Amino acid sequence: MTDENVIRKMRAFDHTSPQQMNDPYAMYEAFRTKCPVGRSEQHGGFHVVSRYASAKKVFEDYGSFSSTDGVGIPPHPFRMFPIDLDPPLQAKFRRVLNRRFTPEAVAEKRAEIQGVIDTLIDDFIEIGSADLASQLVRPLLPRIVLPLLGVPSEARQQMSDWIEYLTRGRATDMPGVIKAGDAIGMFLGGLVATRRAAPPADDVLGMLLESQIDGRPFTDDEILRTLLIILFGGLDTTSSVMLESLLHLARNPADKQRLKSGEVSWQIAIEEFVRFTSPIQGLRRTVTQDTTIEGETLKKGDWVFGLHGSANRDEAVFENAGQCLLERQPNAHLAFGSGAHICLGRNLARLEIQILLSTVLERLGDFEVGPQFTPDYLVGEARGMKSLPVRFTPAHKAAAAGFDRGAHAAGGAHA
Amino acid sequence: MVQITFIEHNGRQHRIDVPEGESLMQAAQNNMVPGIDADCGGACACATCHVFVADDWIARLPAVSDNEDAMLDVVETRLPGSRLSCQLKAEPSLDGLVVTLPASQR
Repeated sequence: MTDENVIRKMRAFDHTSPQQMNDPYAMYEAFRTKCPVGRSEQHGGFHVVSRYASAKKVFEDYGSFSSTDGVGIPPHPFRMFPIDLDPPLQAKFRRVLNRRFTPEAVAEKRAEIQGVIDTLIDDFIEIGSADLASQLVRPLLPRIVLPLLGVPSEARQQMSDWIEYLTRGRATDMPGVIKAGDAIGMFLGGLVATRRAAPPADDVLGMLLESQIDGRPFTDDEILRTLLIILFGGLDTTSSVMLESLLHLARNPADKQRLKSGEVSWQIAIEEFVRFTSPIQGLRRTVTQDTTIEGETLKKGDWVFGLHGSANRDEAVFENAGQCLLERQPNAHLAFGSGAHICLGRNLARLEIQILLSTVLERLGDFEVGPQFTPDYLVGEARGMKSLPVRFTPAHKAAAAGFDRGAHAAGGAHA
Repeated sequence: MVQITFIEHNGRQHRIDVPEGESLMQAAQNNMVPGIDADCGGACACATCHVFVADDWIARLPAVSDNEDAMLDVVETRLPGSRLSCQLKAEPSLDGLVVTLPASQR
């Protein structure tokens, strides 16, 4: 691509455009080499930061690049906490929330996650074909995350629809987005009020109701905005990694074998799946004082869009960055972000991904995608595969197949 | 090398030779000292690498910046010897420093 072409592409860069974002990686590479800090003229104009080191700086230097004016482009019509805050206030929210998302805390969910996955697989295992997006991965996450938060599971479908609209609709239908935002706000507000009057419960909402910030309880408004970001962060992103990993394994049977035999540990492979997918492709910060990156001057008040998706393909940091190499180490990717806002749910996501992939390998290990299949993506700040049709040898349901989940099984130790 | 001793909340000691210029947070992580979570990776943005320095060391360390001061207000128990270990770089004047870890960073 000539320099002029790259500048033209940069001016037109729009992460909400399906044409540009279905496969953005060649475009990112051109940005990194020819125009590492460029300016898009879309959505009111914003700087685009594509190299690893610079994107990392944007996410870590909260003194120069603030989150308090929001992190989406176009902006979300309402603020969420703690994502739309800077330290130190942001860290006060995180201190309370982190406890529920440590590796030890999320490990307690293992049996529940395994049970939900086995049940969903039971619904199609005897048929020998399925769309792993609509029949397994997308239904899975709300079934885990909603109970963990304390949102009744009957609200599952409604909640997923609202979130989907708020995620994807901002570029095309802001009035509709505001309406969906009001609806979800009413619902969550009602839920918080009900729970204040009810006996304490062991979920994130219960914990927020009993915790303090700056020596006072959290307000209903703060709790609502916190639940909302966990809903936003906890559903789509994890599904993106699961689907991308499944597609990779379908196309690379040798990697299935390397995982099954233990040649590559799950822990290492999952970081590579997460890097390779980069479910959040980019997020915004707002410049707080005139500053310079890569020789470009950024003015106070400007928007900066740091591209996790591009940073994670930066050859300066990752050799053969365009390949998914399960054994990759070190792997200091930015897919979970970097700095104060590093993904709250990263330990839960890692666990969910591991259980999902190992169960699929165990129960429908010979799954494959058709040779004609080319993935189609939902795009925006978050990018994820729409569908993943696979075929496999039909098998029995979990109970009939006699899978011994031991103490880990849903209905096992906790029956 | 600069010798730093980390004492876990349960009393277990780790005496570590830290290369000059490395932060105490990095040193603790590189040597598997439990109790330094350092979620933000050293950006002085999460207050999960909190340590207590012994009283006789407080005045001998570089001053607390405004940024670190604000983040120290986030920790559970702030004492006169409270510091964020990501902001303390190993240098010869710190040789022999002893830091104690809080019960939990979480």
